[in-house]
Amino acid sequence: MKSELDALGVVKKFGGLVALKGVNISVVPSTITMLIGPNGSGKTTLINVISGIYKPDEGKVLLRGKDITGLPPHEVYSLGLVRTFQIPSPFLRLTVLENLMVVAKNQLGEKPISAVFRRRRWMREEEELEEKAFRVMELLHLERLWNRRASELSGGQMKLLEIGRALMSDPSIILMDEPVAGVNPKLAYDIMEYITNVRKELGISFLIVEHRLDIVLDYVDYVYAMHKGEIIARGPPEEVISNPSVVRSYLGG
Amino acid sequence: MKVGLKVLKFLPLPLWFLALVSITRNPIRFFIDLASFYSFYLMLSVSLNLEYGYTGIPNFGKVMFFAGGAFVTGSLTARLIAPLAGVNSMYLANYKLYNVIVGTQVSTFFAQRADIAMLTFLLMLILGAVVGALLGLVASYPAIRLREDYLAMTLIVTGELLRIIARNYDPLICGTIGVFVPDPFRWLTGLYHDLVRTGVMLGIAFSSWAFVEALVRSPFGRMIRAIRENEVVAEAFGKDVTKVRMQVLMVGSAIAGVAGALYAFYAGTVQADDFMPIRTFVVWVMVILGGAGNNAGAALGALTYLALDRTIVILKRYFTTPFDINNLSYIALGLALVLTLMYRPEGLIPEKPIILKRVRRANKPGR
Repeated sequence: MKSELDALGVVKKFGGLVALKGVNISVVPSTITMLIGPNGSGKTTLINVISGIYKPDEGKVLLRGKDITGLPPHEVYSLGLVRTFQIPSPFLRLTVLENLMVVAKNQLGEKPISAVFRRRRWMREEEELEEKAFRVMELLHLERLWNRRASELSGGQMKLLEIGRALMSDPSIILMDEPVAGVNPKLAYDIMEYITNVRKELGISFLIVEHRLDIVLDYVDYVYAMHKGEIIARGPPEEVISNPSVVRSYLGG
Repeated sequence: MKVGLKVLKFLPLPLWFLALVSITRNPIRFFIDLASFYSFYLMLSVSLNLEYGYTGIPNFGKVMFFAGGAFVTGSLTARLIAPLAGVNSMYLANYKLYNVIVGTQVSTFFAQRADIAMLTFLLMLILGAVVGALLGLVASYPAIRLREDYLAMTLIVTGELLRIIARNYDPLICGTIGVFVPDPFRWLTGLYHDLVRTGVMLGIAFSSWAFVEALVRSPFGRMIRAIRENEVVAEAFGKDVTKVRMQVLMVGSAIAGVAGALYAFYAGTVQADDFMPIRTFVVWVMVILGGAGNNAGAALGALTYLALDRTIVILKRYFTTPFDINNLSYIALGLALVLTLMYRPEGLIPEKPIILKRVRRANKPGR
């Protein structure tokens, strides 16, 4: 089966520090793949390389077989790969509704000339986008906050908004950097339930970086464990977390 | 109710003007002057607001684009029309020496041919916009990918470069002596002339205001505000940040270029040293004072600053200070800036969320 996303021998150096030492991962379509590893093991760097924020020094990134290595982030996004940020990063002075609508692709009203002179045309797009944004908000129970500035949201609501924003673009794969860290257990389970539903209904693949193994592990299909810039284990969840080198890397000793 | 209160808040402003006008010798002259200055400054502040207030581009080179429009108007208007006006080509050959003669003869020609005068006026405005936009592209190209502070430095330096080139390269605007600009409204006379000219200028200024307002109240406006909030995230969500910033800088600079062309025609002369960096800072004060990220704020900020400036111009006849009285305006400007930043950092009219479509959502919860 063709994979959704492949990283092949990705190397990333920051000066003398080698953050990624030839990482290989692949994500099967419509699955939830998890990436674990202690702090500083290179998980976020890998996400940044895949989403185009960093260029790798060596190796390739393939999205549905297409080489996307070194493409700027906005082009990677237009091909259907979207990522969320470890620290929720909504556009603070935009409202919740605006935060969702702004990320939609190919908006006619984003071209400066059309924005001024073809108002009627893009207004129609806006109506559809708004409907969609409200559907996403309803799923995430954010609809009551639609007109609030993102800066007024709580930490948990920001996490939800971060997820909602990722869904707005009809992606084929979502990379999530710690979607449930710092969220209360109830909400964390809700988020994971929600991700599972989205995967089932829309066939979106997920690559999730997360430390909260207790919550997330039950929902995932496949796990990669990283340590010091290398993949040290891969496989079904139970197998990976009982792997002695993974236990050692997490717990020390 | 709310609107009524808002109007009340600004009531002191017209009263202030009335009081001021009553002590001026020529109230109509005063208003025409104020309105003319307001039209350039409105264009500059609204375009800086688009760049800085909405997109977060620290354009510290605003004066360069203003100068670009003024320089192209100053250097081309008379020379372009001179052959039509039957000006002796000897004068054109030594333009630095004879530019006043050429300009005056072209002005006289304009007095007879309103059609050509107006076409020239229009052409110069378009050229001003094009030159402004091109300068925006050229000045920002090397630095637009850089962090904000570096972009700011690059822009301020390029602005000074342009002024110094104009000052030293005689063919452009006759170097240090400056160039005479013919008057395209010369076919009108007396008060009528001044009223029409100022009316046209205000009309152009408010059209640019309306253009920027339409631009920011669109998905484009939403996108540039998102870029201002966090460019890395905007980029990760599909926005080509570099391209969009360039588009914004080109639009903003085109407006500043038109303002420059208007200024050249209004002043009747273009002098390189009229385009010192202080002009940029004046416009910044207007935007910060009025409220960045709100075009009504930019308009009010420009008006407040000009009112302050004009008041000082008039009042300085009536009292003496221990320092050069001409510095009073800068002192007041600095004070206004410091007080705004201390007590009302969001400006007189703060930024408000823009709701593009609200009809269907009128009954939604959470309103």
